[in-house]
Amino acid sequence: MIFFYFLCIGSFIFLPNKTRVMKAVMHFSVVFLVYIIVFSSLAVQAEDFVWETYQGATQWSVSVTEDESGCGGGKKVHSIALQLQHNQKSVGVGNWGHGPTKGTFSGNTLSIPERTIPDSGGTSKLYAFNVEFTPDCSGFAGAYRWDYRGQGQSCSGSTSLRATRTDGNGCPEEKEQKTEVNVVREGLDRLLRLNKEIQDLDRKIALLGEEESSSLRAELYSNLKRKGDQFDILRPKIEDNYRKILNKDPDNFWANWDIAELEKSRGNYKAYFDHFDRAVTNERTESVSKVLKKKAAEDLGLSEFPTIVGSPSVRKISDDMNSRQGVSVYDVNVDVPKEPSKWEKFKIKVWTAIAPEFHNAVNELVGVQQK
Amino acid sequence: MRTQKQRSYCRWLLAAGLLFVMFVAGCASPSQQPSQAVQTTLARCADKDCFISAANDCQEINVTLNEDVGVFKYSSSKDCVFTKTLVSPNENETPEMKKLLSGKSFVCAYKKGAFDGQWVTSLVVGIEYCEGELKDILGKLILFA
Repeated sequence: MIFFYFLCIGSFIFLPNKTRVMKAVMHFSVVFLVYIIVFSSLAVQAEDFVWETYQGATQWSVSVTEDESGCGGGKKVHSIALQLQHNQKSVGVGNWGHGPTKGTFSGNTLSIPERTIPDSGGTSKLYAFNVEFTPDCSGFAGAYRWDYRGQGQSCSGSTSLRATRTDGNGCPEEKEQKTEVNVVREGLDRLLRLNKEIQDLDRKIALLGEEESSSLRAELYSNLKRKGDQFDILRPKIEDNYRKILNKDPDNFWANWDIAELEKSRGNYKAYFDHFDRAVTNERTESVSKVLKKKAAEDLGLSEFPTIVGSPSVRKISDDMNSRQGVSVYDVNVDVPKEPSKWEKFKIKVWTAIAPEFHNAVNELVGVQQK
Repeated sequence: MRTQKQRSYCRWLLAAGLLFVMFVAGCASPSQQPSQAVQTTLARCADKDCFISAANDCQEINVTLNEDVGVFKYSSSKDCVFTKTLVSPNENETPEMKKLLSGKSFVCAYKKGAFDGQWVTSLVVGIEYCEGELKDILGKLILFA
């Protein structure tokens, strides 16, 4: 298409007689090229979006087709407004006619489990089915079979759903949340850099010998005071920005993750763990664990994940932690969970507390721009 | 020609001379007793408990122990700095893990009387206060435990 476009441009320029046909072809190709460029970039952005990581609500207009021909009826179509309440993999689905339900995302496929509902004096068994969401987040579709029993009758039918999104174009708010946090994060990065500079200055002053010149000492103290003052002015503003985000969305991953880093940099490990717990919810643990392990293996130069069975070191680490009620990290007790389902989160919590660079590691993993 | 008396006299003189030389040589040689200024303080231990006790006192000590995870060398110094080195990992580790872990160490500073014995008895407990490649590696390995 691009070649054709440039061919048209070239011929338009060089042909002595600019025919109407040539002009029409060129205009058409310009429009078509713009269309391809704009919608290709949107499609690329949309491909990056995965519903199973989203938190928030979405609104849909659903066309519901009930095929009751097996039960002596016919096909009925009706439209209904539907809300989905996303909590990453777990989704609450509103009522399209067979009652509200819950589903689980894997990628962009929502699995609705089998259920039985009261129906017209009897019961209907609704079979499990998958709902496929389009890559550009504009629609979804799915269908399921059901068996009705009641009033001396048993029969089967099907229901199909086809929906379009009504609360926005493109993939939804998580990107907007991230953008909002990204704006605030610029301030946080400055604050964390200042904090590090202050710690470095503290160390330099502590290492000064008696013989060091008083002018060097004075310069270091002056720098320390200046940076300390900047920190004291900036910190409440940054914290206030994050509090505003958290007031709207207390479980916002990025705001909690960043405040956790801020608290850790100040040595407030109890507050660090509190914000960590809010950022890394049980629903998020699996996805966070997956990316952190991948990153850790890459950093360590390991082609495969080490295991408790295969590695005496990993086995010893596991035994060390499992043999205790709690593990003290920076003098804050972190309970060792008894339930295996909470073990992943516990490990991430301990590692991120110990690792100095985890904040940037997570940022890299999710492609958040760093300054 | 010497008389027997003269020969006997010479022998005694020679013996006395030798004794004298030996006496002088013994007095001139360095003393076997260490002086206060260069007193050796290197403690000796054969197990973890002994090492922990010595390290707590900021004694200068090295101990190398064969453990399940591998051969560890524990050192403490007079200025209360502890070093833990994984000299060689367990043979059952994969080649990649052996290469990763071999010779890696971490260092922890502490106050006299406040040595954390868990740095010796555990792989990861307490290492947040330490620095070094071994700390970073063990921290990441927590994710796989």
